This record gives sequence, structure tokens and C-alpha cells, in this order.
Amino acid sequence: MIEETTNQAPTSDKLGQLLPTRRFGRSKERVTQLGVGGYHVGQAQDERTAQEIIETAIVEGIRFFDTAPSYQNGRSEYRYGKFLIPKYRDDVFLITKTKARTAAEATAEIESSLTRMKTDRLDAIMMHAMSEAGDPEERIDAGVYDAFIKAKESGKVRYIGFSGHLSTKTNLRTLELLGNQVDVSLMPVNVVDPSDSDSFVQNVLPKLNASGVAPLAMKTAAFGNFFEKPVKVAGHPEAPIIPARITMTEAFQFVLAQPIACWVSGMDKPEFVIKNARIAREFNGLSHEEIARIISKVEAFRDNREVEGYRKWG
Amino acid sequence: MAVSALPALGNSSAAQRTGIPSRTVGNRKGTIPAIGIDGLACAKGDMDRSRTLIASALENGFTFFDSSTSHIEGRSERRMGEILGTHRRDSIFLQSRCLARTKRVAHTELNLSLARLRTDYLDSYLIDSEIPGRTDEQLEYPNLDIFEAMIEARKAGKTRIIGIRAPMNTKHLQQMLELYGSEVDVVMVPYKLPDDNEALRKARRIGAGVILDVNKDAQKAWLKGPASKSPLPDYATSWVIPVSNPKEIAKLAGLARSLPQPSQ
Repeated sequence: MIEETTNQAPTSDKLGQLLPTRRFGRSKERVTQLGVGGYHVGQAQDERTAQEIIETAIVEGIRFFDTAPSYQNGRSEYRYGKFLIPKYRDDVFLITKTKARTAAEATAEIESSLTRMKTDRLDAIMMHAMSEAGDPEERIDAGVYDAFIKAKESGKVRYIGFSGHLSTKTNLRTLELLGNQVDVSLMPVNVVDPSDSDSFVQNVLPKLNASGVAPLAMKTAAFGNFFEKPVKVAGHPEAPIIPARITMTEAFQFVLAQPIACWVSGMDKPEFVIKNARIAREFNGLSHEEIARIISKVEAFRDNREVEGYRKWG
Repeated sequence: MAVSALPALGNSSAAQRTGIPSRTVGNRKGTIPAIGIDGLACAKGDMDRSRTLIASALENGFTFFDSSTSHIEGRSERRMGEILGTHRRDSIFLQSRCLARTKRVAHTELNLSLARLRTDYLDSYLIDSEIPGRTDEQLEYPNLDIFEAMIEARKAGKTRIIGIRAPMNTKHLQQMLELYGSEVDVVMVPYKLPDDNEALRKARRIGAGVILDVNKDAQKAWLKGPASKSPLPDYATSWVIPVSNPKEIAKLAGLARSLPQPSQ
């Protein structure tokens, strides 16, 4: 846990230099502004690569690790249990999620996640992937959030929240229903999003900030599509957004320029950790003009479900 | 699904009531209905579709429902829990399985299955002997001592029978069978696994029941073939089949009722 002391943000811990940290919502705690997305740790080609990703992240000063039980049937959580937790549990912020639809299921799934990761406590738990209208009501009415509160009271988790990548309305509705009981929320933040007719950055992020919720940024390269997917848009050559339209540094500096607590990045090779950590370490803010300039370079890709493929996921 | 005591498992009156035969498994720890309904097939599409399929299965006498913690990230178990939760627990045969790697996780995953299925016991709980990558080619195998979690769960009354599910590669099934022998009540193997497969023969030698896994082609062939022809080899206890609509379910039920009641 990185705590503020007289408003001074620590720059190192016992493991070494930290990446720059940011305030975690309304708490007095700070998190590194770059975090490891667990899906890609589970997806890394073998156990050794997964271990290298985790070790590299620690060396680079990252202390924030996200995961979920549904990633690769638990492989992501098992790999944290094998390579992250035994050495670094006290030094990192650990967050997982659950797709539980009832209180009993949420309680049971938290236990399963703890067991897979070989720890007795999470830093945060989120309702995973809030989807369509009615989903927040259904989960909350069935006691999922109550189960989170109980887990908090019993010391198994410190912060609670939700994630959602499909609909800004659903994310806002969840926030409305739970109000300031929400500590943390994971949502898409990327350079195309502000141009979308239904933008998470424009519509959801300010509300999270106003409520003191710690916003976590995901899909910051649209689940890799910015790098890998050639998309045809009138007036542009059919090529991936990075590097055809913008650089990787521009894309991720845009993310860091938003009022988020942590940029959660999926990195399935150690070299990606090093590249991203460098961007986070060297980030020195962007002016409004620079942000507007980067957004305008990819505006033509707005509302494009081929680029923002996560908008289609069920 | 309130349960005051563990009922007798799938007794012969169930077979008389539904007309679908049941068969003895696992050194006579109980019986399993000869035909099970694939929970994954029931969980596809919207909730109304799931309700229709499961209601139709029940109306037609099917009582054995197979699921897994991994089916659509728990949706299959969740829907079964919601839909079957209004039925008498002892009128249903519930099987689920998990892809756990360690003994401790197998315990917590069983509790998760029970929570999703809204019950306090399963009729059958299986461990997968191989964990395929859902999104890539990576394969993993559980620690061999994982079966001890199954034995403990059976002892605690959380499941009536326990077993192992294997893919075409039965190497790890074979290892677990060598280690745990007659503690294994049932194995679930691919429908097209050769009769002379070594692990299958070992399972039969120790008296374990044999559940044949989902096979769409074999299901179609059964629907089209002569009613007198049983799709089950004589050693097979049960077969889990996919279903896609009520008409198909009714026809399968007719065929299932004509299955021979094997000698117990």
C-alpha cells in the first residue's frame, strides 16, 4: 500500500523506484499510474513469460495488478498466485472481479479467487462487465454488492466497485444506484473514445471524478486493435491506427492526460512492460491543444465497431 | 431448492416415473439416468430459450442435467440454478465439473457451483483431467492430488458421486485412476473414444460408471436411425446429449425410453 505522508507522494519503496503515483479516488492512498492487466498475463505464451512480465513490472516500478477469474478459466489468477503473490503481496495493489449474479455466488467466487491467488485479501473487487440496461439492478438486487460489503467487513477486500465496457448508460446507472459506496471503476479510455457519440471519457469519467471514485483506464489500445487491426475508413489507407495515424506514445500519453487513477495495460511480453513504463515514467502532462490535436488525428474512426471491438462484446 | 436430507439417488422409481432408464454406477453408490442434457447447449442464446429447453426436457422425462463452471463463464450453472431451483431437488440429477488446477481450488470451485446451482449438494461432481486454453493452444493439467478434494467433498455430502472427465488424450485420466482406483465412481469420456482405450478399460475394471460426452453427430445419427438401435455401448452408463428445440427433445425422449435397462 502506498500511503501519502503530509501530501508527499512516495517515489520509492523497499523494492526500488516507483513509477509516478496518483491518488486512488477519495482515499488517502496512491497507486502507480501504470498497472498490469491480468488478461494478458494469462494469455502470455508460457509460464516463464508470465513470470518475466510480472518481474519486469516490479523492476520498472509498477505496483498495480488487475485480473479476473474468468480470464483463461482462471489461468491469469493462478499465475498471480504462482509468481506475484508469494513474493510481493504486501507491496502491490491487487484487484479482481466477479461476474456473480447473486450474493452467494459473489461470496463463493471471491473465495475461489483468493485461493487461486494464494492470498487472504484483495485490495479491490469489482462487479465484472456491467452490460445492458437492467444488469446493475439485477446484480445489486440479488445482493452482489451486499456480499462485497460483507467481504469488506471481514477484511477480505478493501475497496469495491464495478467494470463496464459496453454502455456508458449502464456504467452511469450503476454509479447512480450505488452512489458514493463505489470506490473504483474500470472503463474504456482511449484516443478514439472522445469522438464517439457515446463516449466513456466525456460522459462517465467526469461523474466518477465528481463522486470520488478511482477511475481505472482499460482498452487503452482497444484491446490491441490500434496496433493490429487494419481498418478501412474513407480518406485513409487501410492500416492499423498505430503507427499509421498516431504513435504509441501519443496514444498512451492521451490516456495518462486523463483524470484517471491508473492506466491498466494488457502486456503479454516483457518488452511491452518496459515500453509502457517508460511512457508512464516520462509523462509530463499534455496541454489541451496537444490533447485536441491527438484526438483529431483519429476522429475518422469514431463509432467504428471494428476498431472499438469491445463495444460489441457480450 | 431447500434440502433437509440427502435423498436416495436416482432410485428405480425415477426410471418408472420418467420412463427413461437409470443405471448403477461407482460400485453401487447410486444410479444415473441413461441420458443427460448438455447444459452448454441449454445456456446458449437468451434466458427464454434456456427456460423453454429445460422445461421441455423435464416434461419429456429427462432429469439429468450436466454443466460445468466453465460453460459461458458460469452462465450455464447460473441459468440451471435459476430454472431448476423451483423444482424438487430430489427429482433432478445435477452434475457439474470444474477446471481447477489445485486441491484447494477444487473445493472453492465446488462451493461456487453449489451457489450458482442454488443447491447444497450435487448428484455428481467431476474434475477435468486436462485444462485446455479457451483462447489459445496452452494446455494445463491439475495436480494429481486434486482428486482428494473430490473424495473429501463426497464425504462431506456436497456430492453423491465423484469422477473425472477426460478428453481424447486419456493419459492423465489413467494416472488418476491408477492413484485413486475404486474411489472414482464415474468417468466422463468422449463418445468416440475407442472401446479398447486403456484408461476406459481401467475405469470399467474398477467398477466406475462411464458417461459419454456430448457428440452432435452421434446425436443426429440416433435421431435419424432405427429406434431399435441403441447409441450406447453396453458398458456405458449414460450419454450427455446436446438439444436445440422442444421437438427434438420430444423425439429424443421417445428414443431414450426404448433404451434397454441394463442388468444391474
